[in-house]
Amino acid sequence: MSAAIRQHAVRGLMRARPMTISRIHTTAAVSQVGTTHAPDRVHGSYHWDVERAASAALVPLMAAQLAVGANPVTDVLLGVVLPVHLHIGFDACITDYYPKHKSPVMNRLMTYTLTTATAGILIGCFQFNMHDVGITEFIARSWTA
Amino acid sequence: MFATRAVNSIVAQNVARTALFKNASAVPTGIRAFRATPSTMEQSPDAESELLRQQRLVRPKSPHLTIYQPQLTWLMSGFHRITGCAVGAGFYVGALSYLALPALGYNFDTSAIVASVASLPVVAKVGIKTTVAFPFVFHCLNGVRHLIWDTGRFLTVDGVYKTGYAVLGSSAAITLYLASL
Repeated sequence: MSAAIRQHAVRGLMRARPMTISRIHTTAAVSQVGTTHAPDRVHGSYHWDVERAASAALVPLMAAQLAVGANPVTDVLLGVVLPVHLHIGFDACITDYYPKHKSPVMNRLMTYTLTTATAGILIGCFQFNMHDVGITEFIARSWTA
Repeated sequence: MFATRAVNSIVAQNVARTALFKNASAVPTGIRAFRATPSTMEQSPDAESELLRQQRLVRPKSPHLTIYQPQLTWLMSGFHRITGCAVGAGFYVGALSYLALPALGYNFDTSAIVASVASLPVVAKVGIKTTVAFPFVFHCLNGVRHLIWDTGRFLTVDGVYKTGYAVLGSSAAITLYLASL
């Protein structure tokens, strides 16, 4: 019985379709059972480290924003750390709702869209900090307008 | 079938107590008739798969939002993600608009935005500030709560609830302060 369930689960994994369509009783070979991807620190623990480092760095950055106000160092740092934090956050959502094994096309499409958008906001933040008043001053002015 | 027989034999052994039933004298009819063992039908494998497929379509599906008891834990976790995505999407749209709108002919620098914000009525300003501030403040404070968990602290049910209420209370207070600015 468990072999049939395993076969069925593998069927669901092998074909990126909902499991409602797959058959239960099959006799096909189950060559993919028990396999896993190669361990990879970059997408594993290092990713976790970068995620927490970016989140933690935002705390003193925002404190500096409140304490000092507009400052080119704060703004430039914020213009890098904030897009990184946003990218990692949205990437986690993509991984959760469009996993590669279930919806490979949507996953790739959304990842490319996100990467392009993150590149765009990195450029946008840089331009804003260089040619406009800077992120902190913008928030201060528009909040107290 | 066997369950019905068992119930019948239990009632037969305890006739006095079966006065609870309406027709206590007639033992089988005093018990509400039920089929303990519904009849089964042999199916072909294809038909079994089809039945299972139909069952799956009406079965409650993860994340079971309609039947899961509301709890602070998952409500705050979901709200953390929702607020993060909302504020993040706003930032993405704003930053990309800053790059794109001048090419389309619109003025989108600080002075234009500050001027348009200043021209809003006070009610709208306070309303917008509250609507923008609360998700941001909640996400920040809950983010700190997540970082505290990453150090290993407050990883108990009691700790999760205490820090959760602390985040909710302080984010309400800070939002009110920010909206008053």
